[in-house]
Amino acid sequence: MKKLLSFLLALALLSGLSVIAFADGESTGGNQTVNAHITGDPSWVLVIPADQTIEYMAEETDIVHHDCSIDNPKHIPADCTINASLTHTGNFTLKTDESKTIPFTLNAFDEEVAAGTPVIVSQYWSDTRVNHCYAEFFIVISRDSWKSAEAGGTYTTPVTYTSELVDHIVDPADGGTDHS
Amino acid sequence: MKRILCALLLCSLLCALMPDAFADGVQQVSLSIPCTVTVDVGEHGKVYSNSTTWIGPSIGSFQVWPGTRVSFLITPDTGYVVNVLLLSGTDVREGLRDGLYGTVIEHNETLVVRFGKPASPSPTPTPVPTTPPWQVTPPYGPKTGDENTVGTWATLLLVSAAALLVLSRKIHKPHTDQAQKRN
Repeated sequence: MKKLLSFLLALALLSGLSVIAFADGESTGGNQTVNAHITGDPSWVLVIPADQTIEYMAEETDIVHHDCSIDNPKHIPADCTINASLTHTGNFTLKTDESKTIPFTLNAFDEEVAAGTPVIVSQYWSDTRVNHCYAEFFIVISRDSWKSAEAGGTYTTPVTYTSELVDHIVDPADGGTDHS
Repeated sequence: MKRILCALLLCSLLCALMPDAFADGVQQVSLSIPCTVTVDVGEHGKVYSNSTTWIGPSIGSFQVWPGTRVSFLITPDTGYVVNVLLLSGTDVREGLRDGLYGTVIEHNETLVVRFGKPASPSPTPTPVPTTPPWQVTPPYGPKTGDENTVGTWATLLLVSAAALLVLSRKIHKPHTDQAQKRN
């Protein structure tokens, strides 16, 4: 009996360790897609907004445009949520000289999101099978920051999107409260 | 012991069944800063560029994206020329062709244009005739426009006197020839 239990335990541990989630992406015209593969049944495709250029002297720019979604969810367990979140660095960096930056703030749900803090952009609820993308993620650049930027320079910043499967219902408006 | 093992087994199985899967993607957000071109035109001319004409004296500016080639049509007023053409402090007059100056803008630039009267051509030195040492030129020969006629008259008198002397000699000479023939 002990041997059997040990064997089952080892098997379970191995299967637990071997759950590898990885992602590969591709750009399809407008948006970009990231496929989430798991060595179990659950899988989905994360669609993120296409690369974007901000207009000169624009003080507020929507960077998501409802273009973040969780597509083709398969075998998602009940009462689970797939959350897609974004994080930002808080600075645009000059391509030719990384020491030169333009600071910005990201406003989501009418509040400033600190750099490095994930904020939920899109969700898929397995119980209702609803996929919802939240709007109004604005990059805000002050007029003074625009004016102090280097003439002729091109600046970039990465906005990282992450999706994950969590085993409860999460409402971003409540700061990730468990609704299950 | 069995209970502990069972608990561990259940825990592991639950972990295996409910993995926290994830997928990452990056959206690149970029922005570009244009270059400002300032045009400083002096009086007596005008500069046309970027659909705008600056009539001197005036200063204006416009913005272009880096890498843009910008042409300036520089027109001095009649009787004036481009005296100064500086691009951010560098003399670029050599690049001016038929009133057109063009450059690729990569940074903020200032074009300074000044007009002026063309510099009067420097008088070419008249070659000094080298007279041979044996040819003596009179220091005060008669010239056209001379108002002092004393020298002229004196010269004429001398020439006339010489001529009379020659003629008088010629008149007396034939008589002597005829006398010789008679002899």
